[in-house]
Amino acid sequence: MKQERLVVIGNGMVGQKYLDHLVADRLHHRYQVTVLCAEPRPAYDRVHLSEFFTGRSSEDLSLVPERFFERHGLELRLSEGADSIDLENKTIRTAKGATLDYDKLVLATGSYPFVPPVPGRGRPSCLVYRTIEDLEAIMASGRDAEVGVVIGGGLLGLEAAKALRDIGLQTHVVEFAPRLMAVQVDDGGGALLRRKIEQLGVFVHTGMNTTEIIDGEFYRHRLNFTDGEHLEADLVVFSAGIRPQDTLARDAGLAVGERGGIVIDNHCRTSDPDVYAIGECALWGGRIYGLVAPGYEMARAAVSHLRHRCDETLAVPFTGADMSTKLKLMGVDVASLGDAHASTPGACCYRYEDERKQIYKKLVVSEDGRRLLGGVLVGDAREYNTLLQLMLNDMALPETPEQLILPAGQGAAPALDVTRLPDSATLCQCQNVTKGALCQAIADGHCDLAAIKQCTGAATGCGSCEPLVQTLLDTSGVAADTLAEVAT
Amino acid sequence: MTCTTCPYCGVGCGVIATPGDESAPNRLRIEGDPDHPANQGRLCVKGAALAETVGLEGRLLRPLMRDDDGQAQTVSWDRALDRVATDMRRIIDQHGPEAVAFYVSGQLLTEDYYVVNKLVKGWLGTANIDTNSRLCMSSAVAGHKRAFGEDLVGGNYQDLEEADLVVLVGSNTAWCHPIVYQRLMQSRRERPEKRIVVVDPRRTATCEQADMHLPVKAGSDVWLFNGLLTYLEEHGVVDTGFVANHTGGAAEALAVARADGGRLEAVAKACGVPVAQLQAFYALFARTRKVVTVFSQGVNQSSSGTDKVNSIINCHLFTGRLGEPGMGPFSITGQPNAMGGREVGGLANTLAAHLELDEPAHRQLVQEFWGSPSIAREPGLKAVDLFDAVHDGRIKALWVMATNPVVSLPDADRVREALRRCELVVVSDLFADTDTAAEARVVLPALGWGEKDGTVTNSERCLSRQKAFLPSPGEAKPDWWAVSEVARRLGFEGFGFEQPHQIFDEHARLSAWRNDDDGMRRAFHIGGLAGLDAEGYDRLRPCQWPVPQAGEHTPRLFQDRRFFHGDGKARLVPTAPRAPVNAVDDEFPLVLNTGRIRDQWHTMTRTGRAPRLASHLPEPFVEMHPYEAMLCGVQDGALVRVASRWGAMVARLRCTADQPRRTVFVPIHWNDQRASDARVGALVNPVVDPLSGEPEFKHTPVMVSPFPVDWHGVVYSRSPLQFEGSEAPAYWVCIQGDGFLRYELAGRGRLEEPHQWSRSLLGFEQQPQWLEVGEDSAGDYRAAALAEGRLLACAYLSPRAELPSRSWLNRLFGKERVSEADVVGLKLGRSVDPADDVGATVCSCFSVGRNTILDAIRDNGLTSVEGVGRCVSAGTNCGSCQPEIRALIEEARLAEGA
Repeated sequence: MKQERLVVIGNGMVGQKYLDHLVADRLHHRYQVTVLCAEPRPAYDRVHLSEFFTGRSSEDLSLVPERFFERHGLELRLSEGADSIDLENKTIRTAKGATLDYDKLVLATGSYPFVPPVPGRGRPSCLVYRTIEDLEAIMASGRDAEVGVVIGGGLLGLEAAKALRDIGLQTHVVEFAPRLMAVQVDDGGGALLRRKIEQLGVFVHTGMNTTEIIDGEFYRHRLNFTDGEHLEADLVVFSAGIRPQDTLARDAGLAVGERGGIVIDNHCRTSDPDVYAIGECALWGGRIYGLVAPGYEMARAAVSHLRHRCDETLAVPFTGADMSTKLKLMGVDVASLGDAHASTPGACCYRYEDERKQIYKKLVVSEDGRRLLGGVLVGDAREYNTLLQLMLNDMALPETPEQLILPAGQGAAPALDVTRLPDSATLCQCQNVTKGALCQAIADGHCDLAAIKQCTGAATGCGSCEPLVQTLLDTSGVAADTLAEVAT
Repeated sequence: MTCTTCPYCGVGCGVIATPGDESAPNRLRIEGDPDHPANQGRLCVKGAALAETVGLEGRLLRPLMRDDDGQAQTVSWDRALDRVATDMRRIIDQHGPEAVAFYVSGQLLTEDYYVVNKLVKGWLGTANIDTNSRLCMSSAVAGHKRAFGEDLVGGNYQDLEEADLVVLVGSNTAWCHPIVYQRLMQSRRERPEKRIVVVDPRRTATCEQADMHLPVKAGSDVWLFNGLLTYLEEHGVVDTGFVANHTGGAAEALAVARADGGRLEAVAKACGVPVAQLQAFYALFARTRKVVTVFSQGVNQSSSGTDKVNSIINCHLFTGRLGEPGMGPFSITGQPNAMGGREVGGLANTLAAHLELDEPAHRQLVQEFWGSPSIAREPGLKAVDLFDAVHDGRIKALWVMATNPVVSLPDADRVREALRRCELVVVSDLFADTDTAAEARVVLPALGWGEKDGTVTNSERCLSRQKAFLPSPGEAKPDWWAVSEVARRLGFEGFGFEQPHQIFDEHARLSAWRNDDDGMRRAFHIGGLAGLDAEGYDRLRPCQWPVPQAGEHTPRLFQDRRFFHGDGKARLVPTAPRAPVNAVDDEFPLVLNTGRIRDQWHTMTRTGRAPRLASHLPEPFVEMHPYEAMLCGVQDGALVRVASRWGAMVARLRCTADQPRRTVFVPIHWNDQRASDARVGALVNPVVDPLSGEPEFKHTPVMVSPFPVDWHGVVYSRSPLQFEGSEAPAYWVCIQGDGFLRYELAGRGRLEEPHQWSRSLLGFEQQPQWLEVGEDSAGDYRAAALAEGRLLACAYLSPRAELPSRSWLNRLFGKERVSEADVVGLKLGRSVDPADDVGATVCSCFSVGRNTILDAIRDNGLTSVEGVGRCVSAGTNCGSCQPEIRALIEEARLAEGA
């Protein structure tokens, strides 16, 4: 039988995750796989991109195990994206003019940075922050620069600001909204975040709308704002959000959303049943997921569907993803959970703020006070995992939910009782490991953290679930001892 | 028990020294003097380690003379002094008095200073006497004179406590003046609303607890303060009455300031800080009446240093903010007696007792008082010019006292060459092996701290006694004695001093002499201290001059709003900003900034001998921004070569984002006795301020490149090692340990016979016990020599930079007997117990390492410096390391959950 052909367009973080699952499920033996990658190097960790400035090389950032493609017989074409897709004849024309046949096609084309249509945006040293090449351009441009400005105070904007600060520039962030990270945090958290970021030597200008970029009097550029204010800088980085990279799909005639994004179903299939789309180029349930974890979920769902193509009821579907996130921005802990802005009707908030220690915490609970709907943590996010589990597993809150965010020794609640969590609870969001899988691993004799990590992959990503895994290990350890005693 | 004064920085702390009793005669106990106004019982780590520096090891105990071949021999004082006097007389007869020069030091006591100045200006009739104070605060002197008509620091340390805003300009106070910094921080703890602003290109330890750090571009201070002056005027923050009645020059100063400082954006660009930050600083200054602006070497060591000083003082004069508690400009000096030297006229352009060389009436006054045969008529050569004159042969006799110009002056290689060309070089020092003494014809043994007797004046005009509590070692003598002896041999009267109190008395009488006469009035008046006998002199308690009458002293000047220009007014001085003289270019693209580190003093001739002080930053280093390092192709922790148009050096690279881009920082301390090639003075451009003559130490264009080596090593020895010429490794540093010396080495080419090399280096041809692991597969060589279980030496060589933990080896060398496990560890090159690696020293007082502190923070969830102190004692004595402990707490916090 002739081997079927599988083509994957894009080798970013999600595209690579797709290949990882493909190989893990041994599907690469069933297909002849070709991967097109427009960038000159295979997948790397974009989440930690700014570490490039503090000495991590592109090799250090790579997500591809050594000789991954050769070992598994996958064909990788670097610096060769796709130009067009012919859905009818099932062919792809590559950027280098080659034509590829496919039986199954996966679009993992990701997104591109949105550059607002500000006059002057195309001036030299007005850059974006997305790829290693972008970083190299920032570094080259930063060589003789003194002042840098990031337009956009969201998550990526602050990452870009860190990069500018790391190369020793006087760094500014200009944000249109009245606060930083407007999507993830509320006013209180935003104010504290701003203070902390400013203490780190980054100057923040919120509520500023850039109208044009022109020649500067003192530095290369001058940014004019609507209110008549202005700011001068040598280097401008746009970080005003992302847009799905859907041109290829759109031109091929695949269904795309009103505001872009390749429409997919629960199995990540596009309007053409032989074409999948995953990651930031895909539009599921009317939304684009701009985080890596949902993209990984899509990769998994798409592989699962391919594996169970004969009986798709067996396939694990993608049913949306939680957008809660915890990160460290320039060393500042920031976490946002669920309905952080308390927009659910009847939602009530608890807030705790310590201006001296610079900590801000907010809980959003349901009207009856029994369920956690969301939260914001700035300055100290150690409760994140507990809160996330309570929220995702719809667990009942204590009588006095404020205990959850009060400092220890001030009536704080005991840590989350892991034994109460359902087996289906996902403890490690990064690697998607459930409590059930962890318990199984422990029962199989993996009795310390290192062994658990090795076996399940839990706590090897961001590491924020490590305390929970440890608690699980501790509690089951007690149980095992008790069993042993009973047995003797 | 003796109450004396610390010999290090200009804070001038009181010290109580208690020599050991009969059971432990060498156990000198050092404590802070609770009754001294400067420190009120506190001491920093350098002061606390004084007992470790008074040993006689390496001390010069008899005069030395060198013949033409450089062979040194011990001679009697008579012979040495005869030689100095004869040669000096011959040179003066042949070439005139201008062919003779003296280069002295802020380490001298006022009495030494007085006598040498008297000899030079009154009897030799030249003013060719300058001092190393030229290098640290002559710009402040020149600025004070222009503003106040006299070199006056009006306020005191208490003003820093009482101020609501303290602006620290070009001062790493936390490391360089730790006790003043602690007083400042204590006052802020008591009044949390107090604000502290640091103006410094570098983010130093001083910035840790500041409310604002303005990382201005090197050399941009005048723009900053001109901008402030303009801002104050525009916002109506002016003391109109004071400006009108007590100052002159405001209009001219404002006009010049407006030219460059009129637009905030232009100032922001010149200073390299954002407009918003500049505005915030100006607004804070404008609204705070009780403000003290402290300035130090970052201001003074500049080709526009004097203008920088005046641009600061202008802002205080304009707002009338001086002469009252908690306000005023405040120059904080580097040396223990920098101010004493100024009082006696130790600088080439001053006379004595704050009288001026270029005032005929002043010259006459001094000559009359001294009854001297002549008086210098014009200013002598300032330090940099003085050594130039030595280099080109105009000066043929030079006497250097208590300073090490071959290390500390700009273009220091040329200074060495100048000394080699000079007919007669006399050096008075404690040690014969300083880089400068090594070039001398005659080396005279001086008395050191604890042996000499006299007075010093600190940064707040506080005069206190330094006393002898140790016997004079060997034939060492006070410097005033040696100078007087030479004067006598030259046939001069007026040098019949037998005791220091006699000199002090003469100095005090001169300060009062005709002080009320028209045109002669000067603030420096210590007539109230005249007439003290030896006993009264010994009982002298710290007091702040002027002391016009016995028992009267003056904590604060200018309270009467009278100044010392002829009209009794102060002056605002127009200060047009100027960029540093040598700009960076493609070849030398980085700005070299130099300065002190926490635990060393000047050229390390004393502090380098204290094991406790050697442990904090043991190796010479260059600090650089990580991105700049990437651009230069150099790696953190590797050796690099730093070169300027004037010279080059080799040091270890420390990457830190605290160092701004396009700049590097190198400490000033290392000399040729302690390191192979780490004298930063050799690189510094010999550019000076046109008024003060102070060199531009903070701005030399340099380049940084890799210094490739093929092997790395660390060698411990109980006795000093000699590296023979061609056998010497490409890089070495000698670090004092407690009973041993540690050598960090790196070399080029392959070490062919490491076995033989290390044995001959360590001098152990027939050793009792020689543990050796020859080159293993990784090319590592390890060896250790023991005698009866005690470690005598060890050598670890490797093609890689990974060498055994130094803190662990340090500990093994402290043991009387090493254990079996230690022997295994020595062979392995690492301790079998990982807990043995306490890491690099952070707290020198209690020898607490980095790892110990981090472990304590992690294990006990510590969040405060106090908590760390309770747990592992670090930071609880002198407190100098508290900023670093705070940084470690932050580091641990970041690492947690990362």
